[in-house]
Amino acid sequence: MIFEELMLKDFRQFAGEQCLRFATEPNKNVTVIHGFNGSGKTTLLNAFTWLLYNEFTLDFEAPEHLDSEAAFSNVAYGDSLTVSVRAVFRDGQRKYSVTRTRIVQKSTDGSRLLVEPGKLRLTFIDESGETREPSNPQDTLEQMLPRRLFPFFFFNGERIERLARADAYEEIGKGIKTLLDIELFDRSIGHLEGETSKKLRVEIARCAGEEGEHAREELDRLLEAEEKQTGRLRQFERNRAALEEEREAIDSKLASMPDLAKWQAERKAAEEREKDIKRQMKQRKEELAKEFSRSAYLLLTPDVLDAAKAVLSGARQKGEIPGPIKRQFVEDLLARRKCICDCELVPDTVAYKEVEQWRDRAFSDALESAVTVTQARIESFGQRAEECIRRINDLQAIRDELYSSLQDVQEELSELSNKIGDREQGEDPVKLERRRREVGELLTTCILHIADQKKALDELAESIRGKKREIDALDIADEKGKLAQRRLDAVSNVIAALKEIREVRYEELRQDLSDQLSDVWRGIAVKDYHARLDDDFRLSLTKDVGGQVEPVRGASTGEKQVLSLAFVGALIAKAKNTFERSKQANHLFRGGLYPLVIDSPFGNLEVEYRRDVAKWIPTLAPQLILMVSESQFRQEVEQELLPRIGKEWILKCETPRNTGRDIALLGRSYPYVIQSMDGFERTVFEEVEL
Amino acid sequence: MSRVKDTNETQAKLVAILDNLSKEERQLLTDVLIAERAKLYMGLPRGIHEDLWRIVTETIR
Repeated sequence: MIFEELMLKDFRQFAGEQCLRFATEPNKNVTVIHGFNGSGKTTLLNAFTWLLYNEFTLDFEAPEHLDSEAAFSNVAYGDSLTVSVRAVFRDGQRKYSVTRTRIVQKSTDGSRLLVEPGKLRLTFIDESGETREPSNPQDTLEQMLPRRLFPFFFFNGERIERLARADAYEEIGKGIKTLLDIELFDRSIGHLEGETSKKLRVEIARCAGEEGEHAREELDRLLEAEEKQTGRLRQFERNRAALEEEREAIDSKLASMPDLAKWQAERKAAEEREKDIKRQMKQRKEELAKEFSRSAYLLLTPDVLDAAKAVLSGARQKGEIPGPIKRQFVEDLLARRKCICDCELVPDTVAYKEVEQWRDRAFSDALESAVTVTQARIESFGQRAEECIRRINDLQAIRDELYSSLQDVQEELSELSNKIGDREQGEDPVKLERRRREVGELLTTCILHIADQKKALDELAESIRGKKREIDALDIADEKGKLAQRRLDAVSNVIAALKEIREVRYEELRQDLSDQLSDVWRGIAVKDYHARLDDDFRLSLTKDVGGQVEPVRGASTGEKQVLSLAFVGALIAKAKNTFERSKQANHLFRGGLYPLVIDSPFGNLEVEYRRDVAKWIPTLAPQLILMVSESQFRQEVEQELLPRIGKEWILKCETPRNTGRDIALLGRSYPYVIQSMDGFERTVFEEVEL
Repeated sequence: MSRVKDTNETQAKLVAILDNLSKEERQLLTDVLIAERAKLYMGLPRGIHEDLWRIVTETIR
């Protein structure tokens, strides 16, 4: 859908009939519309949404009054005023004209009477050159640009940050699914698996008698339970998103309070330190456990070693050790029957018995050696026990030190929490702090519930698969049943293929969108944050904290706006790319060319962001229509957009006050605000010469 | 470059999935997608079950 013209007739401040023409060339695809505050920029945005969907953006006030005050004042009592918006656009090979008309009658007391709220008419020229008028113009329009997607294409740049909120995942997910054909597959799978398969199974079961009927009833019961369970899961997921959103809102509020921002940062750092200390304590505890398991027995040995030492020492004192004489030596004397004094040793003599007694008192070699080893080991055990005690003492000292640091950090955290909580100014920080803790606990519970629900759903899905297999295996006798079975088999194969195609497409899309978003963000980000689209379609900013990827808490509105714009740009670029590929044969996905119509696109952005957004947005969207104030269209924006601008307009504002001023564009001066001659406010389009 | 490669890989996977279907199943899949696309703009697509039933019964005879 590429807009060529927009015609307004007596629509709000656009009195009379006026026409805007838009840039449509691929390389000159930007239309810039300059307007002073109150000149009708937001009204123009709402002219599009009213025309296409009979809807208005949230910031559009008094949508019940669409008629021009100046025009209405000229209507005679009892006469009517026709207000209309008409657009000419191209979609594919066709050219369309769409008009929405409202008729307001001036009653005799001067009040407004709505005769026709908003009649829609759509005509198009088909491929053969004939003009056609569909009987249901709203449906035809919404086939080209689904209603639920309009907030992605017609929006106020100052409010686009909502897409970066935690609770926007559902909106983003639906947008992606609708725009890029995932919903087409979800619906096809759902309808074929649901009503169509059910009907076929009923036929099969009918042909398989009582057994089949029973199995079908069981399956119906399981499917009903699955639907209920899915509903519960969705509710928990919505709750989680709401809680995450609330926690982020609390963080943002706390961060925006003077001093509190500092305390918040200190708390964040202290929380990190606490985490680190706990990690170190765990490590020391493991080392201690290892030390105990390896050497703790040594701690029990000192008494035993002391006793052994005492025994050996006593023996030494008594002269028992070291052994005065070797047993072998005495045995040799007895065997030779000759003493060392050359005296004969005859058994049973006094001399023999004397020497024999020495043999009993002498040490064997083995005992001698054992005494020597024991003495050495007693020393070694002693040293090892001392070493073990020293190591354990060291580890315990470190642990004690860590414990003490942990207490300090926890005291600091408690103090910071009190400081944050006790602060009495603006919104009650005590309540905010308390609520933050409650929300954290609720979130944990919610995440547990989600895991339980998913597990229950998996079990149900397995039961359903089993029951379906049971029905499919029923013995079918007649022709009608066989045909139903063949149809069910074909439908099952098609469902399986659709699921596979959906998975392939889904993964490609998510990855592609996330990569593109990340590329765009990397190109413009001032801070070292990373942008990503996660598996649940949550747009998020993350940062690297000590090697760990953590979400950015309390990102600024400007950062969220850029992130949202980058996402919308990536989405539209992907749709365009799909559309271009859809011309190939057998292409299952259609995509499309979608315009971007943005009111105040650079609202809260810093200069760096403005420049970059102005640079990349025209390259992503096939058509870009921007409504800007003088301050938003600053030098850096103009420089970047200029090569892509195909049309440029001024909303020349007429006001009863004498406050005339001009605007300078491309070296020429144009009237911007002028005094009205009839006391009414109105706006007139004036084209800028390029 | 890697994205082009990814897209081509995706296309090859899709062709392989379709090749696994019989001729009438491929027809069924195509007709189902056309019918669903025609009513995609509706929140609750009126009459879609009748449309799909007709497609199934006419394609698989």
